[in-house]
Amino acid sequence: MIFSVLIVNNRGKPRLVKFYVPIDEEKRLPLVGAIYDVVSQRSDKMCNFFDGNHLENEELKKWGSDIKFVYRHFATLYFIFVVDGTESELGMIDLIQIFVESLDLHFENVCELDLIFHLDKVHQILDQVISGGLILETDPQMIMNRIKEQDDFSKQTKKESKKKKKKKGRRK
Amino acid sequence: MTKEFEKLIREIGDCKSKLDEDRLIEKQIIILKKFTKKKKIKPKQQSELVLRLLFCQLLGHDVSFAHILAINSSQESNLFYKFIGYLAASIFISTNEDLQLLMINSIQKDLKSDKTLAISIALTTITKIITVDMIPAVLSNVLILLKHQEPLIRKKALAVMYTFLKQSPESILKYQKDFELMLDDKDISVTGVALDLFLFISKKKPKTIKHLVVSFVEILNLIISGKLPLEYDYREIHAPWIQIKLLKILSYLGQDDPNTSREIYQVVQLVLKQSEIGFINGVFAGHAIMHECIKTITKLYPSTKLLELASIAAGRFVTSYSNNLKYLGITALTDLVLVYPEATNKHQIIIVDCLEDSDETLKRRTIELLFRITNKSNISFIVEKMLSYLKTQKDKKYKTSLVSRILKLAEEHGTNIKWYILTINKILQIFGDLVTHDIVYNIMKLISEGSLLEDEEDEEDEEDEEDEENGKKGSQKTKYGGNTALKIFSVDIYSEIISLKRPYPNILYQISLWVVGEYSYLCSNFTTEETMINIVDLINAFYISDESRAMAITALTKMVSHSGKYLEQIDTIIQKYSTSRNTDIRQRCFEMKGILKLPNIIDKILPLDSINADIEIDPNLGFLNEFVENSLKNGCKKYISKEERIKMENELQLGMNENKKKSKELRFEAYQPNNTQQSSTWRIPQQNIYEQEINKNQITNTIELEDSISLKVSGISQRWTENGYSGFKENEPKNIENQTEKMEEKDTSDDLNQYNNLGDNNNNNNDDDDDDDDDNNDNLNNNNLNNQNFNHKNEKILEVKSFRFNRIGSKGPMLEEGQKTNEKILNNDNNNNTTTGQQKPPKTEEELKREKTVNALFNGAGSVRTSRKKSKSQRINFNSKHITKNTIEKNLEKTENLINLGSEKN
Repeated sequence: MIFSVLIVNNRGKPRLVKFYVPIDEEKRLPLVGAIYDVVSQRSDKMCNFFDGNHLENEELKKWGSDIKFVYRHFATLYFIFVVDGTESELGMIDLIQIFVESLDLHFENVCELDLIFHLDKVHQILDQVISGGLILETDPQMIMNRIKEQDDFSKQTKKESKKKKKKKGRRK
Repeated sequence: MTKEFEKLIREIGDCKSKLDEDRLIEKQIIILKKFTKKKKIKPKQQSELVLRLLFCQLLGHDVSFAHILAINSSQESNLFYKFIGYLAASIFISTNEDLQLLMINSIQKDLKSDKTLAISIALTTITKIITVDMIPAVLSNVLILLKHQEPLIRKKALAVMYTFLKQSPESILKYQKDFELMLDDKDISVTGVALDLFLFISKKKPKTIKHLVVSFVEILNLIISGKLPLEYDYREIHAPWIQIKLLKILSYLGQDDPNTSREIYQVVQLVLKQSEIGFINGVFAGHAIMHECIKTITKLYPSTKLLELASIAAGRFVTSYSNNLKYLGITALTDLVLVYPEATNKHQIIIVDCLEDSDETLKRRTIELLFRITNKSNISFIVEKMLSYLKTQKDKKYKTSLVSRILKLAEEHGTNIKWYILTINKILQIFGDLVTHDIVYNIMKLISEGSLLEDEEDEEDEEDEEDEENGKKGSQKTKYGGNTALKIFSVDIYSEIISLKRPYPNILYQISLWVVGEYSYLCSNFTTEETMINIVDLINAFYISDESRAMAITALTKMVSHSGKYLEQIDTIIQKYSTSRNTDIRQRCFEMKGILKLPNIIDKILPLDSINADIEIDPNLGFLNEFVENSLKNGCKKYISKEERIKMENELQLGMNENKKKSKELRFEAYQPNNTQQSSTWRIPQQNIYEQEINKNQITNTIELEDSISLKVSGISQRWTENGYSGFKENEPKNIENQTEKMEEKDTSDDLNQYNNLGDNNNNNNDDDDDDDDDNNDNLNNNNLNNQNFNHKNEKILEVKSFRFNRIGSKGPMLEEGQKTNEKILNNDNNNNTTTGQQKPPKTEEELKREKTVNALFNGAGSVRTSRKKSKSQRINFNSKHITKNTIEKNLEKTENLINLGSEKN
C-alpha cells in the first residue's frame, strides 16, 4: 500500500503533500521535512530507495515496520512515495514515471510553476492514479481521458446552470 | 484563478526568506478570515478561497478557522466546485472527528447520485477521511457500487472497501464472496484492485483463501499470455503491477505449504522467464517482476530447481551497473541464502566490492548480507572488510550495534582463539569506546580458562610456531584449568600493547593490565622489570582514566607479589597516588602499601593463577561471632538490621509527606532537607550554622508534627468536654501517663542514637547541651519528655532548642509573631473572643519558653512554628483533628463566631 505521495522542490518546499493514512495536521510538515532531509543528502548516483531505518519519526512507526521510501529527482523536484513491504520498489519507480508522464501530458512540459498554480489539477490527476493507497490506473492516456471527461462535465454543468439562470431571468 | 491569488503566489515565489513568506501568508489569512464571516459567498469565489486555503496550508499554516468553507463547497452542485471542496476537506480534516461527521451527510447524498463523477469524487473522499465509527453509515451504499456498470466506480468502491478492511478487518471479511466475484471482472484493472484486498487477507489469514490459488494462477497465466488490451501494457510488459501483486499473494499462500507451492512452481518459472524479455533501458518493470519472482521463490516451499534459477537471476541484479538493481539483488540474496546457502557462492567478491561503493544504503544492505554468509572459511576476510567499512562510519548508534554484531560473529565463527584475541584487540584499539564491558569479561574468562575445543588446535600451532619447551607447557593443564600457551601468547601481546604507550581506549588497557598482572611471570618478550616500568609510565600517562589507573596499581601489586621484585618507582607511585582525589586509587594504593609490608603471607593473598580457584565464602561471617558477643557483654548495643532502619526512616518520611500535603499555601520556611540528611548527623557540620539551625528547626517541627499525628487523641481529647476547654491541670497527669508508655519505646530509639553516635564525634557537645537544657528548663519537663518520644533525633531537637535560644535575637520577631497568632487561638478558644490587633511588647527568653510550653501542652499537637503560616480556619481544623466529634462541632461554632466577629469589625 502507498502511505503518502510527496512532491518537494530542491529547497525543501512542499509542492504536494498527500497522505493515505490519517495523520494530524501539525505532524505532517515535520515528517515531510525529515524525509526531505534524507532525500536531499543522497547523490543522484545512489539508489532510488531507502528504508525506514534511515530516519526516526514517531508517526512512521505507527504505519508499520517495513516502511520504504522510493523517490525520483526531476530537475527541481523530488517525487517521493512512502510505501510498505507489499509494494515493489522498482514498480514504484515506474509508477512515479507514470504520474510524471500524466502531468506532462496535461501541462505540456510540466514544470514546478505548473504545480503551484494548478494544485487542484495535480491532485485530480493523482487521484486517478492512486486512491486510498492503491494503484488504480497505470496508463497516462487513460488518465488524461478521465480528466478531460471531468472537465467537460463540469463545463456542461456550468452552462446548464447559466441557462437555467437565464430562463429564470426571462420568466421574471 | 483570480488575479489576486496569482499575485499572492508570485509574491511568495519572490520571497527571499521564510519570514517574508510568513508575513505574506499571515496577511492572506486575515483576508480569508474576513471572507469566512460573510454569510453569502458565490460558489466560484468560495472554491477560489478554498484553493487559497489549500495553498496556505501547504506552506504550513493553520487554516482550521476556515474548514467550514471546504465543507460548504463540497455541497455545491457544480462538479468542479464539489471536487475542490471534497479535496480540501479530505486534506484538512483527516483527523478531526466533528468535521468528519459533517462530511458524511454530503457523501451519502453523492453516493446515491446518478452522475458517475460525483460518485467517484465521493468515493475518493471516503478513503481519506473514514474512521471505524463511520463505516456502517456508508457501507451499504458502497457495496451496491461494487456492481456499478462503470469500471472506474467499481475500482474506487473496492479501494474504499480496502480502507474499511484495514480499519476493521473482522466486519468486512464477511463480504469476501463479493470480492471473489470481482476477480472475474471484465476489466483487468478492477481485478488488480481486488487483488489488493486479497493481498491483505493473504497476509493476515492465508488459510481462508487457499481455494483461490487456482484462480490467481489463472489470472497470472492470462496476463503473461499477452491477451489483454494494450492499454494495460507498460513499455511492452503486460500489466506489471498486477503481476507483482499476484506473485506477492502466491508467496504468502505457498509459504510452508508444499501442496500449494507445487501448484505455483510452474507459473512462477514462466513469469521469471518472461520477465527477462522485458529488460529495456530506463524501465524497471521487467526487473521489478524478476525481483518479485526471486522473493516468491524464497518464500515458497523450497524447490531446488527454482532456487537455482533464482540465484542466477539474483546474480544478474548484483552484477548490474545500476545501484538500484544492486541494492535489490543484495536484499534478495540476503533472504535467499537462508534457504539456499549456495546462492552467494559465485558472487562473493562482487558482494564484498559493494562495501566500497559510495552509496551508504547499499553498503548497509551488503553488511546485512555478509553477516548471513559468514562461515568458518571466510570469517577472517569478512571481518577485516567490515572493520575497514566501520572506520568510514559516522553514525555512532549504528557503529555501536555493528561493533557488537561483529564481536558476536567473531565469537560464533572464529576457529582460532589467537585470531580471535588479535581481532578483538584490533576492534578495541579503534572502537574501544563502543564496546560494552561484557566483552572484556568474556576475554578475561577465555584467557584464564581456555576452551576445550581450542586446545587441540593450539597445540598443533604451538609445535609449529614456538619452541619445544612452550609446546610442552601448552599441553599441560594448569591447576585451575586454562591453557598455558594461550596465556603466554596473550600476555606477550598485552605487555607489548602496554609498552607501546599509545592513547588507546581505556578498555583495552584494562584488559591488558589485568592479563599482565595475572600472568606477567609467563611473559616471554619482556622481563618483569621492564613491564613494571612500562606500567609505572602508564600510570603517569595523561590519557588513561582513573579506573584504568587503579587497575594498573593492582596489577603492579600482583606483579610484585608474584615475582618478589621491587622497584623504587613503585614507592613514588604509592606516594603520589595515596593522595589522589579518586578514592578507588587511594584505596588500592593503601592496599598495596599494606600488602607489601607483609612479605610472609603475600603469596597467600595473591596466589599465582588463582582466577578460577573457588574461594569459600562464609556469608554469615561466623568467625566474627565471638567478637560480637564480647562487645555485647561490654555494653555495646545490638545491631539493627538495615531493613528495620529503613522502616523507621520510612515512617519518618510518611510523617513528612503528610505535612507537605497539609501546607497548600506558600511556604516561607526553608525546605526540609531530604531524608538521608536527616538521618545522618555527621553531614550537618558541613553546612553553615544558619542552615543548620533552619534544618534542625524543621526536623523538630516535622517530628513534633508526626508525633501529633501518631500520638493522637488519648491525652488531648479529654481536655475538651462538651462545656469547652477544661484547663491544663486536669490533663497533666494523663500526659505523663502517656509519656511513660512511650518511655518503653525509647529503648529502641536509644539504640539508634547509639548508632548515630558512632559516626559523630561532636555528639558529646550535644549531650552537654542536653544536660544544660534539662537543668535550665525543669519547668519544661513535659515538653522535653514529649520530644523524647521520637528521640532517635533526640539530641538534635535539644540541640536545636539551645540554638534557638542562643540565637533568639535574630529569630525573635518571627517567633513572636507565631506566638501571637497562636495566642489568638488560645484566646478565641477559651473566651470566644477575638483579641486581634493587640500589640505585645518584645518578650524575654524566659517568657518565650514558658509560652512555648503552654502552647505545646495546649495543642499537644502542631507546634507553634508549623501552624504559624497557616490561615486561621486551617489552624483550627488542624487542631481539631485530635478532638472528638463533639468538640469539633464546638469548634465549628467558634470559628463561625470568629468569622462573624471579624466581619462585624470590618
